Amino acid sequence: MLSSLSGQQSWRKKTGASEQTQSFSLLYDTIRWEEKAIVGAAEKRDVRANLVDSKDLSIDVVSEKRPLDDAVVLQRCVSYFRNIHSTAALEAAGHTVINSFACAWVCGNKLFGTLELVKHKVPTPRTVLSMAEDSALRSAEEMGYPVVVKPVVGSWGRLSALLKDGDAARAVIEDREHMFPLYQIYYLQEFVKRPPRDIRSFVIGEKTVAAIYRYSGGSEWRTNTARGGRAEACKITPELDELSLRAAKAVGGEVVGVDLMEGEDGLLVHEVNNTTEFKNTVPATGVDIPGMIIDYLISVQKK
Amino acid sequence: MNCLECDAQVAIPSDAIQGEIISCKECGTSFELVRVQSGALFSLRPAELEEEDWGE
Repeated sequence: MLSSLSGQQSWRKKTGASEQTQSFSLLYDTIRWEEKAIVGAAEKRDVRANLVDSKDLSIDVVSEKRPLDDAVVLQRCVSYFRNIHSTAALEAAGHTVINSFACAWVCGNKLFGTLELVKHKVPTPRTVLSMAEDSALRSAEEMGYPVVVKPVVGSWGRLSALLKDGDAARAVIEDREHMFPLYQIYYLQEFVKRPPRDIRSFVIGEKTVAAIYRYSGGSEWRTNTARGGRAEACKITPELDELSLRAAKAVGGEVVGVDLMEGEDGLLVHEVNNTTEFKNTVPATGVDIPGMIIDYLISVQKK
Repeated sequence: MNCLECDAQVAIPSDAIQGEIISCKECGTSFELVRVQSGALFSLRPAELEEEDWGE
């Protein structure tokens, strides 16, 4: 059962809600379409979503008192740093956070994520790690252009670059040499020959519940919908289902978005997202992802 | 409610929730809705801009 401490009890008193009413904390820093949809889905199920603004939250990490009333916390911070640090502190205080710190840590860093996929034998594009300008350029040359370079921490395709030749590689890598040191961790990946789209599947618990194709927008090579990519429903084939579940399991994900590409020899998983967005997926597929997340949270309480 | 930047009227949607981002139609500045202690009303604070660590 979800915890029913003071906040929830006072809410029951005010609203007259039944004793069976369950609740969870939704930890956020910005309310996007997704968070609002999750709150709406919770209301429909008579589940209380207690909104907790991470910007207003301070956690005494030495105290034995749990920082939040609810046992279960749905982590929805858009900021990766807020996400991992708050998750770590809340887990240490005894909260169940979805997704876990272990999952957030791995998914929030592309290299760590790739290492887990490889370790669990999930097919993934060839990826090379270099840590200085010269070795990065040598790696790109050896891999053969075009090559993709991505920041190990970052999202929405931000600062991911397609290096079409040595000149482009030198220009981009030289720029990065003058940026914060994290950008000098060069995560180089083969540019997979694929249709102008990738696949985003959604795993909740142990089920692949939805999938979309994400088509590149205009002349853009990146398929991120945040970059103007277009979403279309994608059929969940047995291969897609199996790989999505294996990828989610590899990173310890409970509610995740899995990014895949259609390579010449089959699907490849290139990333798993631990604070997945679905505002384009719900209308494209008709799948009630917010409702399924609430159902999953309820099932977690019952375990 | 008035925009903190240009003082124009800012409309709060009837289904607004705490933390939601709204923009002033006059000057385009984005604000986060903050629920005031009394419960039913919101105040505005400048919304955060996208940072390098934002994402999924």
